[in-house]
Amino acid sequence: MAISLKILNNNPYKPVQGVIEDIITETSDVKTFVIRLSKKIIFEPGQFIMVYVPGVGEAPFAIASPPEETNVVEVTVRRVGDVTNALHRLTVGRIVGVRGPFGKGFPLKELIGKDIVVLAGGTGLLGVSSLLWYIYLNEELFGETILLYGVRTPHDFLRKRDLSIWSKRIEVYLSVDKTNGCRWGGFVCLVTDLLDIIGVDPERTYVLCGPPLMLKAAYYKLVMDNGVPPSKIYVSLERHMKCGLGKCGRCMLSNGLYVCIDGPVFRCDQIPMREMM
Amino acid sequence: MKEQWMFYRGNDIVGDIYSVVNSMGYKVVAPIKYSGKYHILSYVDDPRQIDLYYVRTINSPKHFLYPCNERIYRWFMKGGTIVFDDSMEVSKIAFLGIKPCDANAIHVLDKVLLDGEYIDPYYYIRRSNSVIIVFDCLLHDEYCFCESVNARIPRTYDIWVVEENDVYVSCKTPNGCSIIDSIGKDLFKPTEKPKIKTLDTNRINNEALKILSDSYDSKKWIEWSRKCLLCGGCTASCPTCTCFDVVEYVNGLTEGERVREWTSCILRSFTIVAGGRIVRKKPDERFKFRYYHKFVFSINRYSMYFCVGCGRCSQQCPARINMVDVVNSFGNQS
Repeated sequence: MAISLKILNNNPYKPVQGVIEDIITETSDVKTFVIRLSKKIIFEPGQFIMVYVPGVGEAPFAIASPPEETNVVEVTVRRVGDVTNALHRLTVGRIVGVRGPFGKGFPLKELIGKDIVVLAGGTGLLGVSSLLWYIYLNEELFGETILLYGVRTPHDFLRKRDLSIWSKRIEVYLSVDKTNGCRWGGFVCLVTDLLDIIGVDPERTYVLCGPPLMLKAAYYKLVMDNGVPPSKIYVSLERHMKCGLGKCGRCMLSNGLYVCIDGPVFRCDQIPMREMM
Repeated sequence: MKEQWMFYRGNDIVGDIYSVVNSMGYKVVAPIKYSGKYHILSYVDDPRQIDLYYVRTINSPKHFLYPCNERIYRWFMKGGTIVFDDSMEVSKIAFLGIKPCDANAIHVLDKVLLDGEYIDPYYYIRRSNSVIIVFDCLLHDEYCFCESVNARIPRTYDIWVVEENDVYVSCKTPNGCSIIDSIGKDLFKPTEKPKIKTLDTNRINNEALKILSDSYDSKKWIEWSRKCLLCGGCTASCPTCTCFDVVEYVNGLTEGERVREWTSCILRSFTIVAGGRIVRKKPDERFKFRYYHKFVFSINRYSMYFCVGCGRCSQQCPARINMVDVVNSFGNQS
């Protein structure tokens, strides 16, 4: 008698329906999914969404399309785990669930008017894609912007069509770790070595996104070798998360900040260095 | 609402409260004798089952307000679209006879799950359909340390009963006061707040608690973590731990449900990220994380400890690691 059925309002755990409108193969293990949502969302550069594959699970992905009010979002996904493998098996027209956008994103107020160097390694490009779009679309608000983007081999560049659009207004430097016998006229070095090629200027603002090894190397190069203050370095972190709401505790850093609600973008003086390694 | 203290003139406060909340449609959850010296919180249908002479219950109010398995939604395909059904069944729960520390644990759950940008709707509905009737602590043991973490006085309650030679009752919410009124106004006489007796459970060295935030890189954590079996029993028994995992149960290809389950920051899989990297891989990093969450991060974010000193984690630890000893070991190193 005491049991009653409740309908929840504005449940942040409940996804909206998304239909896969297009799938673009980027590399052998990376695909871009264009998802049409059943309602419009507004998102800021650096925010992420939770994509749910029915029957499999949910995972966070950075939104890689330009930040605007829209009901079509793009996520670029590398096949690494259960959810991403399941996503890769989906075809156009299949249904997924989407929650979000979540997170604080890039602090545009602090970035506007600055000369910015964006350093991205591998899939780390996706964490900064929406920021690069924002800079591209609002060029007059920013100083000089440079993108340093490195991948393993010339086959591994992601979102090449975006790179060629951005290169009209953003200086883009590309590097590969090794050529693997491919024809490649660009730099063959670690992405962090590109910093030496352009020269580290402590007056610029730096934005990092990439694998932990790259973050560590970049942090040492910038802070220890060249005296860039940590307060001028921003990093977009990746953690496993279940809710995106600051409840499940999975993404908590070792200083008590949540990647989902306090991040995923942090200024390097806000987080302990061990979290970047 | 300010707390109102009354002197109770009847002779069966438990029975009186029981019959009123029962008639209001609440299911009563109360401590009962389980086996041997153990007590548990359980649904009761007779006030004579209730035994208030206990140290701590094995489970905590968390098990009822934030169950270890809870469906967050059911999904099914219908005509080419997906339907997410997040309706839930709720029963009204009255906690009768929980201790001040457990009431404070509910206060911690309120902070984590209801404070901030997002409200957890499942917890919100259960919590708003509950009433908390605290009975002051009658028994405590060597594992208790509520007074070290400011958890001796309940921060949240509907009714608080203090039994000494006389019975004092306080109500702090409209819900609690209406229960008192329904018992019978003539049975209660307004009075001053009684003296709340100290339990002498201040076992943690205050200095050690302060030093903790600067001791993250201390080698002592490695020593302590060598004793730890990393089983996660401490977090499962904890009345304030809220971390969860979400798992999928499927029924064919067209329907299924997502269920959230408690998990533990002690477990290896807790911080696994794409590609199999584990962020907190070393046992000591995982071991100390719980201490930092309870005693340091919580102070930074909410200005309160997320530990209520109930002693459950220390009592049930198979490696006999006592939270008090661990924290105090950082006080002696200066």
